[in-house]
Amino acid sequence: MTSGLFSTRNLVLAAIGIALNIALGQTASFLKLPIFLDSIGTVLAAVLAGPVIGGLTGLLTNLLWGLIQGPTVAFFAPVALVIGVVAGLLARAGFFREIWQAALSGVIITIALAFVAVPIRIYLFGGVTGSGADFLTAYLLRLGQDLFPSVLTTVLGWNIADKVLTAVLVWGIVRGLPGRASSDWPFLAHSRA
Amino acid sequence: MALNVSDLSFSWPGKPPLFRGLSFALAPGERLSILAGNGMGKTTLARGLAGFLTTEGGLYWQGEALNSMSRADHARLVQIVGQRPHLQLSGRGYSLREEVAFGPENLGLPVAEIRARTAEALHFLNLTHLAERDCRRLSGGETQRAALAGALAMRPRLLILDEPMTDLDAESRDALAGHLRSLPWEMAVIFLDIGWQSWMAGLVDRHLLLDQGEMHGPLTTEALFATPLPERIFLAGQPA
Amino acid sequence: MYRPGPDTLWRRASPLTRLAVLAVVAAMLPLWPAPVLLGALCLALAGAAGLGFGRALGLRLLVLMSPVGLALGLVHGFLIERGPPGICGPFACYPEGLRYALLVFSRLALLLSVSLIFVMTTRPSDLARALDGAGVRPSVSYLLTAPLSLVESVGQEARQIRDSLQMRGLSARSTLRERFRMLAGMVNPLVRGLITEAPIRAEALEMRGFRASPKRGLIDPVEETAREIWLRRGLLALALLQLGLLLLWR
Repeated sequence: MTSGLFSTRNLVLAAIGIALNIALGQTASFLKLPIFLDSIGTVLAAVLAGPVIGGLTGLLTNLLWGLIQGPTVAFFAPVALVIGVVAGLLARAGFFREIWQAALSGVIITIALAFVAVPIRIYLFGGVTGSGADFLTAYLLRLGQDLFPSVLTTVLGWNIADKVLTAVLVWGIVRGLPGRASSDWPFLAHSRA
Repeated sequence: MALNVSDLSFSWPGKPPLFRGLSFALAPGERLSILAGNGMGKTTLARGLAGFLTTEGGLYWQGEALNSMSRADHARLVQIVGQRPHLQLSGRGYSLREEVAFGPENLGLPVAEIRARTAEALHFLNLTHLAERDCRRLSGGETQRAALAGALAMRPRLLILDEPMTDLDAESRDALAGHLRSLPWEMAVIFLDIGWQSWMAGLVDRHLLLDQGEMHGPLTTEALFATPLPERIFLAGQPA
Repeated sequence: MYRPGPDTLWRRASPLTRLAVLAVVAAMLPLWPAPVLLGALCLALAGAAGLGFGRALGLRLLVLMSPVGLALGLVHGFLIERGPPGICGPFACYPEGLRYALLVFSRLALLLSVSLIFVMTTRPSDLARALDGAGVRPSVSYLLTAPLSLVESVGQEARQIRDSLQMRGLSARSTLRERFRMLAGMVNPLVRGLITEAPIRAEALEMRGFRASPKRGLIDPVEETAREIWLRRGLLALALLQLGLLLLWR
């Protein structure tokens, strides 16, 4: 077997993560929860194989999704990359061991992704994306806020529930894996209590 | 002898050995069955015999240790087709034809050779009419045949079949058995199964029994039917 | 997204050449004013009509871009103060902001239409084959195609689990907490199964020689003319030239 960062096993994990992101992103809406579920695979790959594989999973998810559904999501590929990298770094630091740590990881991921999502929204999309989130941006502008803080608030508010839930879900999934999963995925040791 | 297995043992960490002291030899092109009850670790044994596990003991092909081979040589030597064939499709190609060609493409073979091997493997498994089918639209039995075709397209010297015929209809089963008897290259086959199956008649006449990690045999088919068998090993049908 | 259509020069071209065209268009965006971009958009729409899906592309563009256009106009024309205010009917508006909104709108619409044309004429497996043919590592083409063949089975499994959960009375109308429970009940078995299967899939790939040699052969080799290769180089140069001009003019 190939070993190391780009082992075949890690490539398969990335492929599975991408498929999960797209498939769950498409089925999530029926739950009527304020979440998109389109980064579970990214965070999962990050916790099992580290920041590089996590980032790759995120980046490719949006590029491939763009290829099958329309290119708007592809513009946000850097955001998905950041989610994977930051989740992997948090996992390495032991932030996926307890449920409260996972929830906190969700918050940190949201703050980190804002650094990329806000500039893309403002410079590429002029602050709007044609989604429901635009109402929030418009409302904040109406209140007299400037564009930057309005978009920032929108991005944070729009993502926080999703990312916290995603991180907690991944924590639950990983916790329920059988003991021998640790030998399949050495990086997982960082997230075992 | 082509394959030499000597004193091969394996156990998962902290568990009793799945098999121990396994020794047998296989001539080029020879066919052998290893019969073991359900849950006795057939799938792990298949991986062990193919050199995919860190086992104790010796495992040699024509004098060369399997675990010291290059990955390309290993891929040319041995193929396993297992019980969950959908996990064996690469997903790399869109059509069945591309899927079967995946292996030969990986070996970097010339185009004519890739095409010949793909067409041949599809023909062996009665899949030629499905060549352009989307792999995600295959039925269970078709997926099983697709996995077998993918393995045969590698033209391995050793094929390990882990309950290979379970999902196949009678027609495909007979067709496959027929083709295995008359391959254009020399291929040794190890059949792993829970017991004697009627399609084995005329195809394999040497049987090993695996019971509680210990190996018994080899037995001829005649001897197999005359011997009291361990629990959970079955005789389905008659020897021809 | 892929749509078959009449055999044209664009369809005969390598997916990599089509990507190069996309790069040229992407490099146009920050450089040119709205009228140029809108002109290019009209060209793209005419091209799509020639490829046999002009109507489909137009409709899709309309659906995707109308809310964006509305939001842009509202935000930049009315909500953000920019330049001297003007009168638009009963409201005060900012003409400079509206001009900015039009610029952003035309950039997005052009990029969207050309990338849609790319997507509607390129199957992921064609792109993967082109990359294999160009000697790109086999792992890249694997990551482009394998996820898409997994999506369908994963999605199907997710829907089955969802339906069985709904049968057991976990309706989507229950409380937030219950719905989250339902989500976890749906996702956990699905994902755990996939993770457990990953090493088996990886071993099966390597058994068939995946990445055993650096360059793959292809059952249907990619054939390109020298002219097309030069054309692609020219397109990439044009994209770089535009980026250079941008640096020069700013």
